[in-house]
Amino acid sequence: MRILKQLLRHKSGLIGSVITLLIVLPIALAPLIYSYDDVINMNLAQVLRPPSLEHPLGTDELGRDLMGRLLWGGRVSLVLSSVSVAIGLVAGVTIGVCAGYFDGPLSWLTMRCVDAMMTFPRMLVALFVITVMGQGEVSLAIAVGISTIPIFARLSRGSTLALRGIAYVEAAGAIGASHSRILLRHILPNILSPLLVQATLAFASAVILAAGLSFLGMGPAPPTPEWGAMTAEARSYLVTAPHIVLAPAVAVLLLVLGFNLLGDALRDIMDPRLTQERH
Amino acid sequence: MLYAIAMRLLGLPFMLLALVTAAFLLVRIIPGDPALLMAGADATPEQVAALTVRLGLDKSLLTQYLIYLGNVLTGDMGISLRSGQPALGWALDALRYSATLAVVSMLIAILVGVVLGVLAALKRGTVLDTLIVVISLAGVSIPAYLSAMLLILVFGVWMKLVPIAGATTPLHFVLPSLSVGLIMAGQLARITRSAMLEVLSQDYIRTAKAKGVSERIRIFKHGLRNAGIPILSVAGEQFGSLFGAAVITETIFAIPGLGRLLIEAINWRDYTLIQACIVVFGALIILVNLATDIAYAIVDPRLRN
Repeated sequence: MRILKQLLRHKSGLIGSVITLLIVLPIALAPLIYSYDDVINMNLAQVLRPPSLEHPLGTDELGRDLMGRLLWGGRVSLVLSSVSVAIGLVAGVTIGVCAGYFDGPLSWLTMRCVDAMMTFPRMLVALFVITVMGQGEVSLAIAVGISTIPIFARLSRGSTLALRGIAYVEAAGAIGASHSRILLRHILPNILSPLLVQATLAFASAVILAAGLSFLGMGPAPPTPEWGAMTAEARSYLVTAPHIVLAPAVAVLLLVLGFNLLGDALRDIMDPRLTQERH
Repeated sequence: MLYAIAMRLLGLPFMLLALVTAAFLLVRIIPGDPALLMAGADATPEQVAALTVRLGLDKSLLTQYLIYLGNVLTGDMGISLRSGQPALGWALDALRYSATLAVVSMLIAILVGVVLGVLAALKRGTVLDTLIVVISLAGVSIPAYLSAMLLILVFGVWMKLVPIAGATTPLHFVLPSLSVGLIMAGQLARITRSAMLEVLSQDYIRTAKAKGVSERIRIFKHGLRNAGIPILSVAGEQFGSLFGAAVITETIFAIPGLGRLLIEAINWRDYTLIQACIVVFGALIILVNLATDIAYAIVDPRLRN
């Protein structure tokens, strides 16, 4: 609650929250307005209609309501990105916290692997995973998730290393607390705020990466509406009906922008050192 | 500094070995028989058997690995199943286009990003600053295919200034480089702005001002040179992600570069070609990172000792 209040008082936090809400809310309400059948069944009598009362953004190249597809497509994008961030977060934090807490050759080796993964662009890591797993929404979510692991692993290892030498963690060890108790009760709660900031920013980049991969044909197969895939499918209409091509891409831009603003604001709020420098 | 560079150089063969191992394992961890996957759905059992022998899949995993390593060392990464030509040669050919695109985009990114970042830092709190902050945030948030399509629409379709597909003349590289470069400029502008703000608030800048050093020298000699270190490090990191963005940009602009080749190879299930693309892509990124680290050590006097 305290964070929420501060967020709304922060300029980019407020703008970010508004943008995010304006996009996420209609997406959440989409099933009340459009049935899924409407957005996947083509209607060749209504192809490429201009915006009207019945179709606020017009219809696409297969006669489907563009607004409906955008909203349902947003659900796919949101779910894909959330799942992938969750995968990256859980795996990355587990790796990072353990590598930071337990010293040893295994930790060293794991972190070298993480470093090596970090060297490569996330797009390449994701494509590698998709090559192994095949194309489709499940492997897309896992691929984006795996490409996110190094970010969380590094961050949580660094934070854990810093906490390990602090008196209350040493004291917990001295009174006989088990490793798992120290990790779960003393270390994990104290690295949550940098993780929250990173998760917000990682969500933004997951949306953009997933849309990009989907644009390249690595995501859900048609007729599933997905923002990247929608742009790719309508590409040949760029000159004659640019709005069909650009609308899903602009949706990606806005959602990513909203989360980037939120992430920046959260970083300012969670790190008082930075805030002091600003004012 | 020499020690740090020597350590990095020592690590290089291991990184490359790990890369080639990953490429080797790629085909082995795919569920199913690699020969069957590569031969395609309508291959006869005889064709699959022949391919199994040709790829050495009938030997033990360790033998396969050693043979693969030996072949890679002699520059042989197998024959592309799609075209019948050597996969490595094809990937290296494609690399020329990607490298051109990457270098030009990087120059655009540095030029635009640093200028905007410095301007924003100097005019801190003004409308110009806010505008630059908003634009650079949009640059960070825009999907690569959107910037590409907007450029195509405005400069290619409406103004008809430059070609929008292919890679036959230097003019063909204008829009793709702008598309990648401007996105990267957003991130660089953000870093430059915060690095400059940090530096400009230092005591030595105030001292220089008190001594009567001119503003231009203060900004460029005292300010930007010190802010240059974090900027350089981010620029180096970005060079890698630039190749990631190039996958999308090359596809849109029909540039026969490495990124597009990789996507095509994945779609064709041409695993030999995928392996070659990944090794070339990866080796390039490893080398660029090494070069950045060395440049970093040279530029930052604190790292020299």
